[in-house]
Amino acid sequence: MATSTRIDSTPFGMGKASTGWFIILVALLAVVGAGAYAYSRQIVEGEIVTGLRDVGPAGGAPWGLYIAFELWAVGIGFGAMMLIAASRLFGWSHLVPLNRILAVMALATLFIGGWSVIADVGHPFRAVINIIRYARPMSPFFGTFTVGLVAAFASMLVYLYLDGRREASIMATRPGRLRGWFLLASAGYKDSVAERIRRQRTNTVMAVVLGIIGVFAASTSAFVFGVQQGRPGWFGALQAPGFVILAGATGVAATILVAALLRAELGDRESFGPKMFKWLNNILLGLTLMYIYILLVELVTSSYSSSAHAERVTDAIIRGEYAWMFWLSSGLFLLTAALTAVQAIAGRYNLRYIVLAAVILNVAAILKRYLIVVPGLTVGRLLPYPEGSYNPTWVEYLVVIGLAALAIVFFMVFMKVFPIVSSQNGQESEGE
Amino acid sequence: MRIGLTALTFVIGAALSLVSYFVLAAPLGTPTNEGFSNPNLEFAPLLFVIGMSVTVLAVVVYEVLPDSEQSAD
Repeated sequence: MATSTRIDSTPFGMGKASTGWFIILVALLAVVGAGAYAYSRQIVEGEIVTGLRDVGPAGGAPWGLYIAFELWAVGIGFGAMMLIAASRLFGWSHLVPLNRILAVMALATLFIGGWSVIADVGHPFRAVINIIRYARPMSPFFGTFTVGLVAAFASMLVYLYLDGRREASIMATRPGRLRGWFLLASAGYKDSVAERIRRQRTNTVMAVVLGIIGVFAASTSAFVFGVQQGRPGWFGALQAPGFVILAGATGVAATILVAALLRAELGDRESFGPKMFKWLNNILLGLTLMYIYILLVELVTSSYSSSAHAERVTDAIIRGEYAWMFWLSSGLFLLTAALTAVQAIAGRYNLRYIVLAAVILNVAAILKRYLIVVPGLTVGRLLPYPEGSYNPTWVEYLVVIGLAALAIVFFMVFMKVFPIVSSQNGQESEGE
Repeated sequence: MRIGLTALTFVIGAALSLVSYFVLAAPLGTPTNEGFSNPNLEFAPLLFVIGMSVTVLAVVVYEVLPDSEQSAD
């Protein structure tokens, strides 16, 4: 049986670190260090080393690359949560092997998303203290902090812990340096019938919880923009559904990339089989088409805008300064849809094209996040200030690249201390 | 025992969340005075997130609590 073979040997490269792994880790840590250095310049010299400026008289944008990156990162996390929920509740058994990967991905992206917000604020310590001290429930920031960050993070930690208990109990029976750690993580799990039944129940409960939190968290992020009546370009009812769908799409696209990398690295064609990628391709197609629909509706509605202020933002996005970015991102969304649709229609799936579609979708999503954040600040205003501008500096680029590297480090280290794919997938699939 | 403790954890977490959101935090509704800008109790948002985390932990209580001698397989 494949399951027991995996457990007898060291599963999924766990506990073993090749020279190549170390080289990649050191390189990534160097990138993290470069990001930390860039952030230290910001702490020492102030926001002046970034391209961020106040709106209005200062002619800038207080939110830029950091917030666009944060939206993209947490979007992946929320998307991963929704995918775990969907695979459990709808019985998508081909995706169940991905659940632990999705959980680790969600935790890593939520973590770096949170840090990206910290990088954006001038006084991080003051910001954190004041939000837990004074935040108003009616403010969307209350929602992003409570549901989007804390609840999402806490529920993902609980899910990951419970999901790994059985695995940890099996690993704890094997000799090795990590035995003590597995014993602790298993917390007395004995794989009895009663425990298995409870596992099934909590899996279902957690799937519902993760699904609800994922949707709410993506929506509250959208409300930060969508409920700002005084900010033309942001205000709109479509922000929340757009955020939820884009979070789902980026989550699926990131999952494709991670699964393809793990398939190549671990040589595990059983856990990361063709059916899994076929499902991911088709889900990505559905979500991308839905997002293109949202984009079209947004475009048509804003073209008929009654407000001159909103018209100015639309004009800047479609024909002005941001036009190249808008048309490029729209084209990339269409290309993703085309790449995934051709495979779905032909019924023939090529992993390279699926991966290509996932990369393209993520690039499109980052550009779109930037377009959501920046033009509304530089052009979208009601007061008669001159048009502002925003150009990210090397500090901002290095900080976000460093954070992205940190997420990969987190993932790589986790893989070495815990099986990244659950060996109980077969049983669960049968059970479901 | 298991169900009781799970329910208790859930109720404590949910109650803390609801009370901190609706009673202890800044009042909901259209702001008519500066009282709407301040929480009724400082750190009410922190209590809210603690409440939510405790609610989620009810699942851990349900699953991790050891079986009693009689019910163990």
